[in-house]
Amino acid sequence: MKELMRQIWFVLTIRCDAASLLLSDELDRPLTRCEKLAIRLHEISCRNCHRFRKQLALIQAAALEAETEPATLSEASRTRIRENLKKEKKNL
Amino acid sequence: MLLRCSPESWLDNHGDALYRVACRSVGDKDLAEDLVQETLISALRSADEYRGDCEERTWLIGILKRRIVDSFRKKARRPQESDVDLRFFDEDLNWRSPNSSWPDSPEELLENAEFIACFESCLEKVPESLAEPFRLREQSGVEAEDICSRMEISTTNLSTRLYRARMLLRKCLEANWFDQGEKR
Repeated sequence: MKELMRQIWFVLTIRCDAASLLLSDELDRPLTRCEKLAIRLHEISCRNCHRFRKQLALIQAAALEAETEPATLSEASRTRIRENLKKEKKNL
Repeated sequence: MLLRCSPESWLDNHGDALYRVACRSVGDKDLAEDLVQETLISALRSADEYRGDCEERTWLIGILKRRIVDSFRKKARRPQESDVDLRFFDEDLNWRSPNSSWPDSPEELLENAEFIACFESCLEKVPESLAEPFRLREQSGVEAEDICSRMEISTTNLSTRLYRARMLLRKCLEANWFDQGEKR
C-alpha cells in the first residue's frame, strides 16, 4: 500500500528535471510502468518536455549521421601536410 | 637511417592512425591535424635517432604523444565537466530556456550536411567524460550495461552522463542552429 502511494505521488508530482532525465533514460533502458505513466502525463501539460522528447530523437538520429570515429585525414589535409613536409625536407 | 626515411610514406602508412590518436586526445580535428604534421616534421628532424628497434608506428606515436602533452600545456584543453553550465532548470525545476519546436519530420534536416557539421562541432564541445559514453551509446550502439563495465561506472552515473551530453547537445543546437532559423 505504501509503495502504491509512493508511486502515485511520484506520478502526480514529477517535474521537468526528473521527467527530462527519464526521457533520456528511455533511450537506454526500458522504463517501469510507473515511470512511463509519469512522463506521459507530465508531457500532456508540459510543452517543453514534449518538445524535448522530439529533440532527443533528432539528436539520436543526427549522431548516427555524424562522422563517427575512427576519423581519417581528409585528402586536403594530406596534401597540406605533404607540402609542408617537402618544404621541411629541403630545409634540412 | 636518413636515407631510408621517407616522410611521405609515414603519412601514407601511419597518417590516419596518428590522426585518430590525436583526435581522441584533444577532441579537436584541426588541432589533431596540426599535431600529426608537427609529429612528422619532428620525426623527420630526428630521423637519425630512430634506431629501428621498435616499429615505425610506435616510434611516431611516441613523438605524437609528447606533442599532445605539449599542446595541453600550451592551449586551453577541451572543456571539463566543471567548465560547462549544467544548470538546465530554474529553482522551480522548470526549463531555464524554453524549448523551441524542432521539426516533426527531420529527414530533410538529417540530409543537410551543414546541420550535421553543426552537430559535430557541438559534440566536439561536449566534455570528453560525457562525449565518450554518448558516442559509444549513440554511434557505436553499445548497450548501456556494456558501457558501464567498460568505463567502470554505475548505471546511475552513466544515465547522468548520457543525459548531460544530450542536454548540452540540445542547448548547443538550439543556439547554433534553430535560433538562427530565420537566416537559413
